[in-house]
Amino acid sequence: MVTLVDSQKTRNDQRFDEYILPELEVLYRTAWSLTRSHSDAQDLVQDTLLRAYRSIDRFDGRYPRAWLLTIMRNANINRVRKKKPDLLNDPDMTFERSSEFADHDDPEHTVVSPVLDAAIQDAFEKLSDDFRQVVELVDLDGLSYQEAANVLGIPVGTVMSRLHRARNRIRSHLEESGLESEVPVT
Amino acid sequence: MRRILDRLRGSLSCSEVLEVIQSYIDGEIDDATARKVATHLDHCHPCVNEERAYLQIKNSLANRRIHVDVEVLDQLFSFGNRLKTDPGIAE
Repeated sequence: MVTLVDSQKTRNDQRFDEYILPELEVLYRTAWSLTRSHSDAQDLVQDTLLRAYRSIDRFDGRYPRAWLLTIMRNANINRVRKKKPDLLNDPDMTFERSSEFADHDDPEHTVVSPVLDAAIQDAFEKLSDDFRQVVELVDLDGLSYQEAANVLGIPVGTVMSRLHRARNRIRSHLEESGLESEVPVT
Repeated sequence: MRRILDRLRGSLSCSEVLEVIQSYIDGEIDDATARKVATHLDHCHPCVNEERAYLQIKNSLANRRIHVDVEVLDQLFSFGNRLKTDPGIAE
């Protein structure tokens, strides 16, 4: 005999399959940007899935990615609180992205000269954490401004302003490196 | 001269385009404005240079996108499915 509780669970499981599981890759990329560690990213996604599963009955079905990213943000705040302070700024962790980059099958892998490419990467590394994180979420992880705002818990206007200023700083760095002829600056 | 023509056509000036060019390449402006920006870019070489500069930066950074192993995704997918079948995890 199917009880009311059973049918509610079935409905919730269907919603979980429909809304949550298709977002796994985006969740993982975002978690990587927040943690800069594969094992922490995996833990953070699992924690996010767990929290999402527990509250799926309260989700209205609109903007699942934005909803999940807000959950991830809260899960990450908890994770950081629990972490020992001396592990938070481990400089070795910052190398991980550069050693594992390059999904060369991506259609966005367009031709950029190697010199220019290296200068852009260099300028990116020099950005402050606030600026770099926004660039990572939008340009590397492919989030919209609103989604990045949800992850970071800041207004969407702040995301836009940080992102645009970050790219302008990269351009200034290119100018200072004598690469303005490759990237025209008017 | 072009400014006057732009105004007459109801299209955007260079400074208006430059204000939104980054949001434009990010796909973050409304369709009507995006069409106006595209029309402007059809005939304005300096603004095309601006667009190209930001696109190069965006594309160069996009190439740093991490590769997510299928195995990792499988593990996360399995975890998600276990939440539905194993009440011990979800509680």
